[in-house]
Amino acid sequence: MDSINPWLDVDELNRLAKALMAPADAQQTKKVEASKSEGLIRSSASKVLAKASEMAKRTGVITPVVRKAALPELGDWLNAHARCQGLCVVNLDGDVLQAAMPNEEWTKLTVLAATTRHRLEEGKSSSLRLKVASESFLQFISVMTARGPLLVGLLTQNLLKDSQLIEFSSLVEGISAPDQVEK
Amino acid sequence: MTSIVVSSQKGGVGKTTVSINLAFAFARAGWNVLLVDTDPQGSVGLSLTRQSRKLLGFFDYLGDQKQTFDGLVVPTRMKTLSMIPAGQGEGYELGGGYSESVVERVKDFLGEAESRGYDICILDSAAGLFGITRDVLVAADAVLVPQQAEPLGIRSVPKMLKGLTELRAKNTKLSILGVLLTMVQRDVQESAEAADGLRELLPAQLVMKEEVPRDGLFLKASGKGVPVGVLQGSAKLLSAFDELRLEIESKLGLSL
Ligand SMILES: Nc1ncnc2c1ncn2[C@@H]1O[C@H](COP(=O)(O)OP(=O)(O)OP(=O)(O)O)[C@@H](O)[C@H]1O
Ligand SMILES: [Mg+2]
Repeated sequence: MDSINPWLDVDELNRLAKALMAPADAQQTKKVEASKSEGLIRSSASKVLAKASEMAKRTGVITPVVRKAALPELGDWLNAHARCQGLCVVNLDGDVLQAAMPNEEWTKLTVLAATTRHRLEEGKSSSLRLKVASESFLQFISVMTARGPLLVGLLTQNLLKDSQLIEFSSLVEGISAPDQVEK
Repeated sequence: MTSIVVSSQKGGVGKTTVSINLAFAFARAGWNVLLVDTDPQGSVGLSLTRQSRKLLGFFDYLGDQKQTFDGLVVPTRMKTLSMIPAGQGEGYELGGGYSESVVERVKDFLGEAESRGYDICILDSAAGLFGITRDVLVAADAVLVPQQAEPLGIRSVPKMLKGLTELRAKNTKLSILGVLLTMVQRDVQESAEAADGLRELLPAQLVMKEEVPRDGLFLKASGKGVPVGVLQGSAKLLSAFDELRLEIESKLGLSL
């Protein structure tokens, strides 16, 4: 017992177990419409980034991966190269570090891509791209950071070219270097 | 027919091992069993038939409306046990079809299995509750969650409870059979403590009474591509899985 308690929040566990055992129809059903493009929030790249960083701080789950001062930089870059509609950052355990996606399903897809990475890459390190709506592409970009490898899910109106993907990852890598990360 | 998904948040906890040996236990007891591999890595197939990489399977059915169900079924030496490998349709999980239409196709699949006279369908799955595993869980009747009995592994339990609760909002008929402790080593303090600790923390209803011991025979069995029960010296393991089968039958109200 003692050996596992430190790993778990017992109250939280009880709450979760109760929720799971409650009759299913008593739970409120949250509907997520995955394939509808009209629900897209068309915000600018820097807004998306700022929101991701803010959410990450507020939830206190992690320290922000992206340095605040660097957000405009990355935002400018994204604005110049792609219409950014959403962004999320997950680690290879599938933990969501930051998410500002118009639709939760796309964050989940990124998690799936991150946790099944060994299958998807098979030798190639090129990114995977999906058309998720008529004018939306979801691209998965692996980024090596001071926190280890992360996967960025980037939702854009236009696909990024390979050379742009390399630029993008080096920008993210640069601004998440240890001495730059905000405490 | 009752469909049971073997699913876990974490990889390598013994899902495939449990799927194969539980299917074997049901088949031995006289149930007509279909074992389906819904993990795109296809380990059930690898394990039970050497040729499975070349066979069509579950993902081909999902990806191609014209693919017939009967063309996928692989008989085994046991009359009451058949299987469907994962097949060729790899990468499908991230293809364009991530939507309710996949769930519908999985439901068609299960409907066809039922119409062929199967009583029990056991579906091995890829780790995580996303993608195709999620679609399978939305369509199935019950879920069994293997959980390795080690202190660090237990950390994934809250995530799993949360994930299953979310899923039940989409599939109100999904029975949660509960956590099945696997690779339990009663003679190793950390393992025993992790197992007992989890039993104390979770409501009894959410943890299977039976547990799967750690035993080298499982490794040997999967190397040979057979359920552990066919190997010499497996009597104890065979009876553990038979107890597990009985427990599941009573939880789901199944009888032959
Ligand atoms: N009870 C056990 N005792 C000893 N070894 C075991 C036991 N259960 C599983 N194993 C071994 O552990 C390894 C992982 O098991 P298995 O493939 O069943 O896990 P899995 O959850 O299906 O993994 P994945 O997530 O990769 O699909 C295998 O080598 C298997 O032989
Ligand atoms: Mg497996």
